[in-house]
Amino acid sequence: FSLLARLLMMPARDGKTMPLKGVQIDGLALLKIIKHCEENKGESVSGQLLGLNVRGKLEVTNSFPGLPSDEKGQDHEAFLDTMMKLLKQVNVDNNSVGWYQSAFIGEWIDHDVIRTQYSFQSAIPESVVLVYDPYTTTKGNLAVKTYRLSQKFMKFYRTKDFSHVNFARHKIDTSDIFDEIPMKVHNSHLIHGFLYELQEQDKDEFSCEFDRLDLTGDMLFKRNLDIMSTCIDNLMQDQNKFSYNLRQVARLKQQQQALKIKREAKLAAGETAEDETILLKKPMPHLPRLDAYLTAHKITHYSKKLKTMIGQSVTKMFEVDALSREMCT
Amino acid sequence: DATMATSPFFLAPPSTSGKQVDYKVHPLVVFSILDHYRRREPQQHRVVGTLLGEVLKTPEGSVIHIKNCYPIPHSETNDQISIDTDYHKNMAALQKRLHPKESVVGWYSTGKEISYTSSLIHEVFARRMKKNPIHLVVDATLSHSQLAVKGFIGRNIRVEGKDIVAQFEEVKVDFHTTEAAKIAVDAMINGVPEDSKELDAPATMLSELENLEHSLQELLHLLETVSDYVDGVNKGEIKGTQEVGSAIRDALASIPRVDPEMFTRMFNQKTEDLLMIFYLGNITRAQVALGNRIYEVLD
Repeated sequence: FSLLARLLMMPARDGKTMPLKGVQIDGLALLKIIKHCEENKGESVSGQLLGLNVRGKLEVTNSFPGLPSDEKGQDHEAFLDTMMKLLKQVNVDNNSVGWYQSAFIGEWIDHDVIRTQYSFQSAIPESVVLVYDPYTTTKGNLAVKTYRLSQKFMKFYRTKDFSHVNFARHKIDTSDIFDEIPMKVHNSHLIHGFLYELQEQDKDEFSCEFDRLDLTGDMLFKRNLDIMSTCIDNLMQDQNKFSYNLRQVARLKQQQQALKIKREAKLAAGETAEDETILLKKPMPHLPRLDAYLTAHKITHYSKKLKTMIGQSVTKMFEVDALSREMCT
Repeated sequence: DATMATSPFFLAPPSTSGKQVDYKVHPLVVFSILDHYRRREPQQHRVVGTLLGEVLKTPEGSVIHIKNCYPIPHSETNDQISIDTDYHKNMAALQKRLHPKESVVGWYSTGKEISYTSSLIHEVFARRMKKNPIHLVVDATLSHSQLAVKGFIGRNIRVEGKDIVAQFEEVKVDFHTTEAAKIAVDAMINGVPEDSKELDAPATMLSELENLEHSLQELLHLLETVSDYVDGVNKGEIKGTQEVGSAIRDALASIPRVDPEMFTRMFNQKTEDLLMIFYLGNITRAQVALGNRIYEVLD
């Protein structure tokens, strides 16, 4: 992701995560993001968010897409520069406040996302990642949320040590990786006027009232459960590897203990001890656990999502029941 | 080309055939235009920019979807106007890389009417594009208490085979949107504003359950209206018409007739399935949380 290169060149501020009260996104930026993600529904695309940080509230006023991944030539830098310059000429805030990403069949949490968001947050402490899910945005529900990495996780990620020991030391729970930031939509007076016009003129074209009463949401459940079961499989595999690794570590510790005792005995007996410092000083080969944590985080995230979806469906079922009882009497 | 050289203005290339052309505007375009208007330089009265879109061919003719736009810096006095064509070219190239299917289809400006200067710009666009460019005018001053969005194309008037004069002709523009954009616009219309006195206060978008409640109330309201109407006709207060009556009958007939026992069985099955999924989700989450606690104890 080309933005990374640019960010790494920016001087890193001390990276302290500033408290963010909320994110306010302009209708224009939202529509642009939706258009870009919908056009490239088959893949995960991303782009930049532009705006200002006003007294702890992040205002996103505009956005633009990143180059498509199949663009030959590595002139992403040039593209960014040109775009920012052109936007500045027409008075658009050309201040980067974060980035957006489209979710591919509901999945968006992975290593690249964390790495990118970490770089963004180190250079610009208030930055957020906005995730838009084109697959769940149907039937009247808009699936867009803003996240940033929690303070704890930022500190932990900086250490670059992903062993389970370090996880425990920093007390990272699997739900601790991303914090959700509440998001509001802002539109200027003129745009509200336009929205009124749309409502009056084309009421049917723009109203989602009846879409929401649709009862056929089964595909979404199925997809969610499929992803969850894949995650569980991954987690199981990782658990096996981890327990194997734990046994190895235990064995190594035992060997080191035995060696130490033998050495002390030899020294006490006055004989010269062999130089086994290399074996003694061998570091514990701890397994990097970040992927496992990510998988566990994903599982928690999806089960929470399932909860909201089920809530809606059950409500609709009971409503149908009530209506049918009225019809039969 | 002789005809082009002799016409006073060149607002449109010679028309190919009388094929029907429909214009559809996506709401993003108007949002962008209004935002540009808000950000204009203090001394400008109006703003100008390029329209991008896609042309789709249908059996009757073609449909031009105006999907995107970008602003262009321009300067204007009473009689003269100049736009930064380099900017237009650079930005068009960038946008082409981002959205390869889109091309330049016209230009926009804010304001109430077409002026002499508009025709100058229209000419610039007509010369560059092979097709007839569309000129979109958005009235941001809200005259007549309306935010009008009008479209114009150039039309050459021929007399005895020679182009005498050119004029702007208004064309119908409809609003069109993809499903996702529709949901976003609907969410914005129904959002709950932070501060009810300020029109442009940031609004929280309703959660899914609140949206559902809204839809159900709307449904209830509709049913009540129809029911009151039927009561009124029965009592003789309102004169019923044939169309309304048959519409009501059709609506009621479209509800499938299900045997009550069968319905109860279907309902129970569906609800049980949903609850089972819910239980599975919860159990998985509890298991993962338990696993976490064990990690903490491990070392």
